[in-house]
Amino acid sequence: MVAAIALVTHALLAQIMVVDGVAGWIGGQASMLRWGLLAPVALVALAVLIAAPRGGRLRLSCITAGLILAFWAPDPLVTGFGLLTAIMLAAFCADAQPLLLGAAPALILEAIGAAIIAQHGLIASVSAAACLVLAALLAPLGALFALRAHDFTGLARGFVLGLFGVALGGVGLGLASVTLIASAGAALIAGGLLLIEQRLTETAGHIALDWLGGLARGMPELSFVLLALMLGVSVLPPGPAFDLLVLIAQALGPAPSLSAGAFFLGTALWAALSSVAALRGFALVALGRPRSLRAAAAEDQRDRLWIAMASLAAAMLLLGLIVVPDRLVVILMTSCCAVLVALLVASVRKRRLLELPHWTEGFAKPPLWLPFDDPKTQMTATGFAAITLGVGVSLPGWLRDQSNVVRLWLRTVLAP
Amino acid sequence: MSLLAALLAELIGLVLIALAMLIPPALITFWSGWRAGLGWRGITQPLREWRWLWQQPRLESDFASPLARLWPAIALAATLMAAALVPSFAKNIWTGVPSLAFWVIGLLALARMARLLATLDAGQGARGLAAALAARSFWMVQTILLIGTLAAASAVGSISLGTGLPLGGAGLNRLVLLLALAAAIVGLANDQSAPEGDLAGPDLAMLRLEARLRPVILLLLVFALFAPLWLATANRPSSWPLGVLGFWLRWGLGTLAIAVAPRGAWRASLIAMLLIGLAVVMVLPR
Repeated sequence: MVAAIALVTHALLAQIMVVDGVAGWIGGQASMLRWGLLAPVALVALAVLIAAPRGGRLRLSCITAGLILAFWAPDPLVTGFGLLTAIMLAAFCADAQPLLLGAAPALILEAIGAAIIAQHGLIASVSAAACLVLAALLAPLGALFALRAHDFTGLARGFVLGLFGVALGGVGLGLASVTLIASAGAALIAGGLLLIEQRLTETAGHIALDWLGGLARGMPELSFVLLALMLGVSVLPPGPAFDLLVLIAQALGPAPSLSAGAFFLGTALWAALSSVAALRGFALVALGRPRSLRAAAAEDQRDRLWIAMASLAAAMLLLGLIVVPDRLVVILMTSCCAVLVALLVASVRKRRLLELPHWTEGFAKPPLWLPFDDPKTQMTATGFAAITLGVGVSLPGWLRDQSNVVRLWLRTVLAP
Repeated sequence: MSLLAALLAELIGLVLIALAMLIPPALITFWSGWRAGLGWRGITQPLREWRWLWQQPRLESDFASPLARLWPAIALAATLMAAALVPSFAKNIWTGVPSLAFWVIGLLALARMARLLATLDAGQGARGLAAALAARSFWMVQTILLIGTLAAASAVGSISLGTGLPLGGAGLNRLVLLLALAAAIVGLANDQSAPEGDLAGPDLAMLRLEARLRPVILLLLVFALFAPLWLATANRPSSWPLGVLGFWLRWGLGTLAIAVAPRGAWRASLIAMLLIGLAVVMVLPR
């Protein structure tokens, strides 16, 4: 608590001393980029405050105030100090984790953006190129981490890192819209996933992806929230991540620079990998069979935590629809798609259902205490990631396989 | 007048895609029916099978989620939207949307995602394994297409589909496009479709239709990106016959290339496309 008060006091004093009074703090330092970066973080902060237990709200409010003030720091060093203090505070406050993970990318981007805008000439172009190269590495790396994550925290960290990379690329390209959308997506996905993790800790007893499954039967509302968040972060139309891809491609144009081209290559990998990571994050948690009796008995609860989660998921969906380029076409296409889905579902809705004994893949009948069958044959999150990434294939073995493929192909095609 | 022409071109394009989707299974059933002495009856067999399947009762797994009935419909709807957007025999059907390639790729990805979710919904082991393998194919093909779009945009100078080969440009651009076309064809040849899950009746019919449509759309997309030859213009009906002829030529050549492309080389095609993408940003004259 003392540290939080110190942080807030420090940030306020720094602002008032360096900038020209309170009026200068409100008017002079504020910019569209800062407001844009701050808005989703403020939304996440609000959601976290709503979801927090009564005893921890004061502490969370202090951390929130410190983070928000760090956005208006007069120089990147003060921003960094604010971030560092917030990290230290959050280490002792589990409820603040969603807020910190959501705010960190925005704070770092704000500092980097301010540092780059202040440069001119060669230094500015070199820093922009460095941002793009770093982004080309960070974006697919984050998606890869998300694809290999073992729990919701890992999933959130991976998605946030990927989106932070994309936002950094936006800074390098000079595209404020990309930076803002990616930063907002990172804040929303971090807040949403970590709040879901809180709920699952209480109800299902597990947060490891390998121990979850089948939640859509008992917790359909939580599954919808998870689906909305995952659709937002996967590069599918009309989600915000898809909008990012289109905006970046439109900005690249013909004959991009080397660093911009490398960034697009990284973005392509990020897009493909994060889609599969989102698929894994939803399908292996919400679909299939529950892996424990407690998870099978878990039910939705309409409380403050649910309101917080649902508001973040709704914000994610809205973000995709608001910022999309070619809005008229998107509305037309989304409407056509929705009408088609409704027609197809309506045409098969009243069709008779076949009653068949279920297929247990040769395994014995499950014990009575497992009402949803024995889930040991079910694909786990770890197995899914390993197969999807082709882990376990050695390089010499792969080279041998590929040379055999080419040799056989040539023999087939060129044989008389 | 131009709106009417665009609508007509859209309809003709959809009919051509439907025909291209039906011809391979029709030829196979015709050939086997002919050999069995059934004569011409085999030609309409795929359509009759699909209609029969549509009329059958549904099957729902004991473990299916409440969302299970949505996945096939989403997959088919997204694929139909992609079929309506991709330039089949004429370009400029949907003018004013420069990011059309990304929309087609995105809608096909949405369809693939819905299909994978339908497969994973029942939570069965063998299906899950097949879905994981299909997911691997999914992200590889997605990466190949997205990097290919960058290569085409850099070589041609526009991200609009069906913009045309840079005939007046450097020969290097054409070489890049041909290499990208080859890598994409190999990628498509190794594209694994997710299995159909525990479904029957109309759900299965929708997924089967989606599975038949997707390769045709992907082939048209790849040609529209890298070699948009013999494409008509939607607003000029006099160019349509050439466009229809070009459609069959592109489809025939693409199908043949996919048939002879090496199987099991999906990683190689991904690496090749990554190298092409790097070459595009490093070598192409700017």
